[in-house]
Amino acid sequence: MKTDRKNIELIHNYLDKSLNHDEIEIVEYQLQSDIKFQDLYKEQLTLIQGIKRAGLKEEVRRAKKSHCKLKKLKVLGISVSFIAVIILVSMTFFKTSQIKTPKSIIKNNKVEVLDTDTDLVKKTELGGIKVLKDSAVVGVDIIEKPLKEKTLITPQELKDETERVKVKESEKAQEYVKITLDTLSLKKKPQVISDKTEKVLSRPLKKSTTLNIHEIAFRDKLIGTYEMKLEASNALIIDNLTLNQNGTFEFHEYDKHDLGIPPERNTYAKGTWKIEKNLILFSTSDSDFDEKYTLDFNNTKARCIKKSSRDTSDRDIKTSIKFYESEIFWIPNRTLLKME
Amino acid sequence: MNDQKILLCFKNGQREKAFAKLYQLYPKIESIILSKGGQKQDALDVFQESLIILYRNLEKSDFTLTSSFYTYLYSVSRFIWSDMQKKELKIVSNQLNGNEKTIIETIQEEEQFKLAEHAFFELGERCKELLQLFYHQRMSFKDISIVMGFSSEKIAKNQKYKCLSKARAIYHTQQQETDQY
Repeated sequence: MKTDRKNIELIHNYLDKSLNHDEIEIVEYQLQSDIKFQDLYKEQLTLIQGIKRAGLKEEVRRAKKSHCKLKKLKVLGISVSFIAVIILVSMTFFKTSQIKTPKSIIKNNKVEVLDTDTDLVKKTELGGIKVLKDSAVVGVDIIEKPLKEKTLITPQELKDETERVKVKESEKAQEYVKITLDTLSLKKKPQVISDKTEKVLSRPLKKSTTLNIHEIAFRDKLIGTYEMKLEASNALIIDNLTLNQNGTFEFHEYDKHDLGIPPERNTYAKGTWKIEKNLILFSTSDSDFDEKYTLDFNNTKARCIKKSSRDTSDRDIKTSIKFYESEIFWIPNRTLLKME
Repeated sequence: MNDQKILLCFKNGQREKAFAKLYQLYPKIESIILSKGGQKQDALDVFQESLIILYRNLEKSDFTLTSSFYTYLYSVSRFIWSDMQKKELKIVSNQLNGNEKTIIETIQEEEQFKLAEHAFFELGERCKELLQLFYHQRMSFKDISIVMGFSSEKIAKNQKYKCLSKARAIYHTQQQETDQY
């Protein structure tokens, strides 16, 4: 038994390569000459391989698990990607269908127009045929395209059509012309909100929509007399500005100073005024100058200060005009209050 | 992952990673076993055994893989399946090429190792852990004493001898029982 233990230890040390040269030679000699030692060596090798086999089997089992896990993750990943693609595609499709061109006013793919003259409707030439458009389709232009099909139809046939442009009967002919829709295309006119036909101030609101307000709407509110009074113990300055409805203005400054030479001065200006981008622009032409009106108001700009119609507070903001640019050095920053 | 990368994994000691990659070949092997009348469980056992045989041969210094992993595993699986069926292999030695001879030798060796494996499984948990750490993980006694809480390397070494002696005793018993049958 003791010999066995000694031999087993020797074999294991030999296998672990922890023997010196002489010991290795002894083991190898015994392996060649001693059958019992040989069997013991084989047995120990088998036991070691059995232990290793158990470890290998465990590793293979774990490898199988990780492979299956990876496979499941792949399937899951592919499924998620597939679902994501489907969602993306359907969302794209949904979006596309949402922005489809609006439905045609004429649904049955046909438009009937009458070959006649009338003072009520707008007339458009279409391949030699007069196409009429009445008030029912105001805001719709019939745009000319090459005429592909031109068929004469009877009034009875016309009545059968459910969707059509309203037409007027001709005096000379009860003849209707059927034109397929692909020869026509309808384009909606941009909506325009307008006031009077005079000069307008335009402001784009939404797409294709413009708000046009006549300049007079602003100007009427500005017309009137404005005044500024600066008073001191030894001086007095009074400025007066009158904006007339006809677009002319008149300015007067009274300057009194005890030590002035002369102590009292009066200066005048006149010319025209206009509104541009919420600014009041003054100009003086050569004809406006004379001995009395000497001030040059060219390139003079002012801004109107007033309470906004949307301001519902109790604040008291008096309507005034404030100069902010002028070639006359003392004009800028002067504020003139509107006289009631 | 190609065969070269799998070989590199084996060389670097990343056996589990290499086995996991080789499991990609399992469906093909499974279909072969199923076509030969085997069940899914048989296919799993055969493939597991094939991987062990492959590794055993890769460990041998004189072994060179001359074919793809699939071809090699296919051959091994075929022989293992025949062995499992206890069929006469009817193999004439001179009809086999070098690789096939090695495969058959390894399969026969493995039968002996299976017995030793059973003996190992009969051991207690501490013994199994110690022997695994030493022979499979190739840990030093110093590290084992730290991992398993032995007070010294010498105690770890003595414990290993005792565990191996137990395994040897069980192995002898099992061998005798097998010889009786």
